Amino acid sequence: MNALSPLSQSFVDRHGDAEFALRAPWLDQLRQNGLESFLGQGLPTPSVEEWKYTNLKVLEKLDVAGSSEAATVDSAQLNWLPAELATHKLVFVNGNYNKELSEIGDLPEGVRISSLAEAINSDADMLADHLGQIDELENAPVLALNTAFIEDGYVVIIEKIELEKPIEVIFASQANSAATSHPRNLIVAKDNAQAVILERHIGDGSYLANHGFEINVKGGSHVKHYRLLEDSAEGVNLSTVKASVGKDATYDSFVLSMGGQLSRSEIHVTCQEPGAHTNLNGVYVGQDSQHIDNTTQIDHLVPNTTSKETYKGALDDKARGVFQGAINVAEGADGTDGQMSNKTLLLSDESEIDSKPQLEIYADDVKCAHGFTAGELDETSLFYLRSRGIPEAAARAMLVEGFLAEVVEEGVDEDYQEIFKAKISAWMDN
Amino acid sequence: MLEIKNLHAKVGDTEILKGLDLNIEAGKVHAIMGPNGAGKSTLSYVLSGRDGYEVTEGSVIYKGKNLLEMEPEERAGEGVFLAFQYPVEIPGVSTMNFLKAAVNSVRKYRGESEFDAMDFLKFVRQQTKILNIGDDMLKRAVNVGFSGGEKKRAEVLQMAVLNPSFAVLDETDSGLDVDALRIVGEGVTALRSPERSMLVITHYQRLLDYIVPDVVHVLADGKIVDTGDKNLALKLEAHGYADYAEAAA
Repeated sequence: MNALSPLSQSFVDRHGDAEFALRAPWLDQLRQNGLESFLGQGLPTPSVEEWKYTNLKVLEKLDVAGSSEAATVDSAQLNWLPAELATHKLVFVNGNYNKELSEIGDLPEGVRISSLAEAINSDADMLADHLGQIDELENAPVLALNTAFIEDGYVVIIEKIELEKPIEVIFASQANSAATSHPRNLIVAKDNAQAVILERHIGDGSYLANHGFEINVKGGSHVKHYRLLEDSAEGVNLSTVKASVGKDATYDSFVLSMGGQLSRSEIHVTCQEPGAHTNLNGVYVGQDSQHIDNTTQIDHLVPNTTSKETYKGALDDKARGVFQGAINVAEGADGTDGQMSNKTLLLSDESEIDSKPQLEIYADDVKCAHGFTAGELDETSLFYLRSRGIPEAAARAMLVEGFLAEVVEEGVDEDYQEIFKAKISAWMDN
Repeated sequence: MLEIKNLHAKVGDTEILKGLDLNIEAGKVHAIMGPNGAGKSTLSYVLSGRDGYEVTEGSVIYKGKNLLEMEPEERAGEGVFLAFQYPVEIPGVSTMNFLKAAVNSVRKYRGESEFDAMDFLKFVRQQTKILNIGDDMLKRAVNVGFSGGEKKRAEVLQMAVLNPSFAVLDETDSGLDVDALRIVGEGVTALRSPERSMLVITHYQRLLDYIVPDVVHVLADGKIVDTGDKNLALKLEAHGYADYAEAAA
């Protein structure tokens, strides 16, 4: 084992000092597994293939080992959805559940929605069955770090029911001195359950939010997981989703990345049983010197599973985007259909996209395709709009918005599209 | 309305228009016919201000103003409209939003009040009926997945709502079957008025059965080589462009 970098060591030291409020032997063991895995790997550097384009050195400039202080959040920041949309609402500040700001409301039979801490306190056995079950930590140092620090997060466990209201989750990071949080979130849906999750990440000042997600979608269930990343200009947002999709089940993910000095959304979906399907969609918009990384991996393990993936972005100034999309089809996984596409508009000379699609196919009867484009706005389209009287700046904005809106229309339920389209519009106006 | 004098234009290093003269009076419909490569589309792009079409000599005066100095959006505001031969697909932008943005842009340019969403819907529906355009088409992204006929009807709808004084129709008949041609032709004819001039650019005579021109010109090798009434179009249909090609060469 190599010696840890000072930055990695600072996390380990922090762990030694930590006093976790939640204690249980299995939970301590889980954290210990995470810590040991992290000790063996350290924070990834660009010499690790999966991290070639994203350098976590920026964390050195954050006081990431500093303590998370209790903080307050401007309540106006918490109202981001249409007023008439009723939700089950959970708010986390620096990774900790804030009961006063949350409003989970009444829940139907067969549904658990709560903070992780609350779930462990009231139903430790059930949580022990679910938490840490599908989170392979090997080659996942950032998730290992998250696991080492499991403290709070949100839990959704739903069976046999189509949840009427969406689940709204806000993660607010407040860095008065400095803040590091490692929220651990768990979503389990089984027996034809359905749920929509609308998640918003915001922040103020400089911080690291390092999210871990375990998502288990089983037997005919459908989880729609929509995320809006709007971190502060100095914030760093890392997230690792490990999703397992079972028989005739579907995991939909949509991520709109628009904030933070650096964000990386990593999603790893395993299509575990026949009929499993996943839709991974994302939009990224960057300006100044923002760095936005979307890394995905879809494993088709058994016959007749499908995936569809579209990521589109617009990058201005010196913004840099990264898209890494891997599709793996295991031996014997015939009937797999995997479609992946990544398109980026480069709005300035200095913006950049590194796009790396990767197909590994070990089955014979498979339909897999990937497409990649990067470039400027189409001149003919621009002329067409201008010839209709639309001034050049407005025409450009319209084309970029349209280009990005397509992904929203593809990846988000009609009821919620406007939320994300409006965010893209506001970014364009900026 | 429009006065083109000795117009020379090139694309890259190739001179396409080689001294074109044309006068179009208010309320008149002129047709320009000509073989492929004569410069028909170049003329339409020069008039609408597309990048890459460089005017090297001559002038275009529209309503007393120098048209060539204006940006494409200013030309639209001044009342110039081009119906594209190949209407452009704009993914992710609904036809309705596009129309509203366009109409409000030109209204603003003309010092008129902008429409709100409700008023605009009423305004558009007056026009969609005549062109057999349903609300579902307005919801779809601009030209995306439209059939040839739908695209051309959408062009005529844009023309109708933008209320131009001078419209160029570039090969509007291309890609249309007989029924679509009739709908488009009737749509355009309904827009004829004493205040509006049109320049109908076409390779074939058939469109002119539906949009009957006041004047017909023949364009060959970058110049107007013949001018007559609608019977000239019939003559061309019968004899082709061979005579003109030889004359130009």
